[in-house]
Amino acid sequence: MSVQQWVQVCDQQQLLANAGVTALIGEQQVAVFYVPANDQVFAVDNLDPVTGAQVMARGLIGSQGEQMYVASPLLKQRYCLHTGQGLDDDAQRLNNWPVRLNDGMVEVALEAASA
Amino acid sequence: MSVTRLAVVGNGMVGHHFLQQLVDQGDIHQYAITVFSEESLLAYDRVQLTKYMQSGSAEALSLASLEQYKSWGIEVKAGVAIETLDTQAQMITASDGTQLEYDKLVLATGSYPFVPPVPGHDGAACHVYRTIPDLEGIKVAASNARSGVVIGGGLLGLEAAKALVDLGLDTHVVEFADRLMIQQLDAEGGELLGSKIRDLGVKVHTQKNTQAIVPLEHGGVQLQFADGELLETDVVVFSAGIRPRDQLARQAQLDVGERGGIVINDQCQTSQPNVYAIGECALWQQRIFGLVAPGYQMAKTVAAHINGLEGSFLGADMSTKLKLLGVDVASIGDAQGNTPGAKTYRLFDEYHGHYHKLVVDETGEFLLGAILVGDAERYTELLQIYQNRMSLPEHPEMLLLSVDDEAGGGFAMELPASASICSCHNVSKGDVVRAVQGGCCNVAEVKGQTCAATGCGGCMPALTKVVQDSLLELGVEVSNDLCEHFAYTRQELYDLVRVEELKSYNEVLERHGQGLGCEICKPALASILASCWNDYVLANDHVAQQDSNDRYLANIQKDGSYSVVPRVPAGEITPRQLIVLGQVAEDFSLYCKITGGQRVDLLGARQDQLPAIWQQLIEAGFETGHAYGKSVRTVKSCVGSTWCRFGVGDSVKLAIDIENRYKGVRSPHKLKFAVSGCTRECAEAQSKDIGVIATDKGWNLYVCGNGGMRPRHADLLATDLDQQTLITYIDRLLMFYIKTADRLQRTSTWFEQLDGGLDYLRQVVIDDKLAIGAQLEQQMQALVDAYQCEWKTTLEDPHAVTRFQSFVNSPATDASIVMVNERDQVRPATANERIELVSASI
Ligand code: SRM
Ligand SMILES: Cc1cc2nc3c(=O)[nH]c(=O)nc-3n(C[C@H](O)[C@H](O)[C@H](O)COP(=O)(O)OP(=O)(O)OC[C@H]3O[C@@H](n4cnc5c(N)ncnc54)[C@H](O)[C@@H]3O)c2cc1C
Ligand code: SF4
Ligand code: FES
Repeated sequence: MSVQQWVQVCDQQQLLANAGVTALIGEQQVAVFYVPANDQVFAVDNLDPVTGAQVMARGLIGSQGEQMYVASPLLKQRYCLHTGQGLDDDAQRLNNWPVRLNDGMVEVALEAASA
Repeated sequence: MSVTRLAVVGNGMVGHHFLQQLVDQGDIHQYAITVFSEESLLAYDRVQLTKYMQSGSAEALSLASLEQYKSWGIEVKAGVAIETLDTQAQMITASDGTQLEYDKLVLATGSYPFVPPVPGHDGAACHVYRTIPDLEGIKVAASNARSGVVIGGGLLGLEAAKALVDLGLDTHVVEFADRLMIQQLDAEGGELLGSKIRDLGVKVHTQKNTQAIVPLEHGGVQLQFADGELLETDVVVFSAGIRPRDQLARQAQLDVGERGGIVINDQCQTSQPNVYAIGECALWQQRIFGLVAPGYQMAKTVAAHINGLEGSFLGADMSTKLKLLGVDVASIGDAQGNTPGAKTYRLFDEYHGHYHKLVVDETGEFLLGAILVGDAERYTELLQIYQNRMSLPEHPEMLLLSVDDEAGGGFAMELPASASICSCHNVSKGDVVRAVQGGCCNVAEVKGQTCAATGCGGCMPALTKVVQDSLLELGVEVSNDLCEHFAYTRQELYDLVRVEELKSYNEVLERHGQGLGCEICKPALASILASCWNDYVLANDHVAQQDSNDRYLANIQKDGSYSVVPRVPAGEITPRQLIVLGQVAEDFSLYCKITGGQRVDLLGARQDQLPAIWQQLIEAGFETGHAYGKSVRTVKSCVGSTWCRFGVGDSVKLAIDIENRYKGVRSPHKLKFAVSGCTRECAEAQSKDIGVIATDKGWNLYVCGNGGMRPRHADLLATDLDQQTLITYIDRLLMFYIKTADRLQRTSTWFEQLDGGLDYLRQVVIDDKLAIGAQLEQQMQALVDAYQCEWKTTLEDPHAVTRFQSFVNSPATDASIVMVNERDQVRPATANERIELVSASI
């Protein structure tokens, strides 16, 4: 079983419109993207599964039809921002976590593995 | 079975093509082949011979190599002529005494330039125009000459005249008939061509019968004409027609024509069935074909015949399209209207200087021939109608009108599969369609597979059209839209941004796009915006659209660290600056490497370290090197005349000036320059987008070269320029490229897709034909004036600096970047090393 624990990450002001920033939550690097058009935030793993580098927050985000994605800044593979699913390679995916804007603050829920 | 001994005499274009055909058609190793080439150079592209005057590179024209022949198992005797042929003994004897028996013999001896036997025709000032050594001779003669005369105003004569113009000579063309290109043009067409060429400064003398060439005391010669007129000059080039080289055949008593030429049948066999003749030495149905395409067809026929395959030579079309001294000229079929009952349609547009003529048959249904002078856009279309005997439209006169730029092939899809698209390589429409069906997705791939458009290039528009139509038929949509977010091409977006003065990505997206954008349109528009307005790229409006390297003003490496490349204009660096670079590298534990662009790369910086590193570099006077940007990289330079004993120009100074002028200019792709101090070319300028080489009179400007994955030699755009003119031309060329190129298209590929090629580029950049020169210069000046060192600006903006922190919510640094030592420097740890190091540290 797991419980959801919202962790305050940063001020909404610190986000970059239509781009990503990196947050450090414990040991975990989390890429947080902000799309002002409909005030959406996304939190995915900063680790690029293809190269093993911590870089996903530095990738460009885009849309394909209705689907929003981030492209790795290294070799440009794309991942769905909602699900973390790889769009160019089915076998690859990014971890992703619930994230919300709460009263001007960005909050992420890393699943705390229950004891 | 014994191996067939095959001897080939002559290694010109056709002789070489024959060997290539043998390879393409099957197993060449079943023959023991010996090739004799009288010229010491192996086959080269004679059609493009005039290019040699500019490039001076025989290699660029080369079609064959010893290694290639060796790999085909062919023995080559270069610089060795065959002197006798004995068809009874089946033996040939060479100038070096070699005797060789053959089972089959192919004569591909070509032709020689006819020189009328007027007194003085063999003087030192007289030349012909057929081989590379001929051109070398003309070049040497021209180096201390003022003027030159070409005798003969046919197609080759005008080619030779072009060469003399390029060599800077005051050029005359002397023609016996009353007009130029009498073979291909009628009176009006020839007249118009003459006047156009006169406008270019070439003096054309028609109805002149040269009777003597008399050497003058002070050097040079005097041409004396039958009408009593005289013309003094330094260099004479004969171009009075060609004669087949049939001596061997005559000596061996093979049948030859009354006026020369080795008689062949439809299989290209001479009167001795095991002796073939192909190319310009062969006479088929009383005709010599002085073009390369028919020769290639003969070569293919013989290769097939020897291989036991079907095939006949059934004559060939002599239609041609050329650019002579910058004037488009085309002639199709029965251009003179000699067919009984033929009728003509004509348009003489004195205003634009166009002459168009269609020759149609009695019934008015079929096209028999055509002439186009001044504007030959319709050539491909008319040729297709002619070759495929397609019915003319109801109003054939409409075909007299000029078409707009999209040249060629409104008819392409209606063509039968057998229609010839590329006559140089005999590629039919069916071949192209099959290539597309077989998986080729664009023109380049089809070119690679079929060889179409790799000869004279005249068929490019038709090929493009057929490829696009075939792709469409397969349901492959050929959209030029930038991406799904913008239904515009890059150039259209560039124009919109300029005209509507759009200043940010979001503005453009709101007005003209849809969706969120993507990794294609964001950097492309960021680049366009920068090319138009040169704003600070990390300004709030722009930062989110920058490609990852631009966003951190550094190049990202495989482990997520960055490299730092300060600008070192022209590679000139003070000892103090070198020390600073070393110091910074030591302070931040960076790996150092000298780049291929004459500067120093410092690698392994963490994102959060970049501002501090740049602080030190900027204090020492360095600026950003834009190694991350689609923008000017380096201007490579040799040491030049200041030090080098050969240098004739100060290449370092010019390179620094150029680098400082264009640094920071964003473009569709990166731009590389180089300046060499003399023709030894130590800076490799001819492999750059913009290359400059010093001459004793100024600077030669080379453009659109490329190293990298598809190297391309740059083309010589202009010679002996002073620095100011040089800069003007570079300004115009670069802005024109920035305006019209596709995203991520280097100047080399842009150039290759530019309709009209080098001549067109010259018209735009030098002649200012589009009348946009001043505008381009002014746009470039605006970019130059708006230059800023992006790192300096960044360091002055505390908000921008905070974006370099590793984490929004923590001052910690990124622990995932782990280095190990190797050869006294650092390098990124491998995955395994990292695991070990990280676990050891816990
Ligand atoms: C550092 C350097 C190699 C070196 O150690 O010497 C280098 C390194 C890179 N080259 Fe290069 N190229 C370097 C000189 C060259 C040269 C030689 C030259 O410029 O004289 C060439 C061939 C010349 C040419 O471009 O015409 C060259 C052809 C390429 C290409 C292929 C371009 C092409 O049109 O085919 C790429 C890929 C691209 O740009 O799309 C590339 C891309 C790259 C990138 C930027 C790849 C990337 O995106 O990470 C490399 C990162 C550099 C970094 O992190 O610092 N690099 N690269 C050289 C930097 C020169 C400088 O001072 O700026
Ligand atoms: C300046 C110029 C521009 C041209 N432009 C065009 C054009 O735009 N379009 C076009 O279609 N055509 C053009 N042509 C014509 C084209 O180049 C020729 O049609 C073509 O080269 C003919 O090829 P070939 O192999 O028959 O003859 P060549 O290319 O002349 O080759 C014959 C070779 O045989 C060698 N040889 C002769 N006798 C012997 C011997 N006894 N032993 C050994 N070797 C021997 C010769 O030295 C020569 O190297 C142009 C020609 C010139 C000169
Ligand atoms: S290009 Fe010429 S001037 Fe420059 S270094 Fe080489 S030899 Fe010397
Ligand atoms: S027609 Fe000459 S290359 Fe195709």
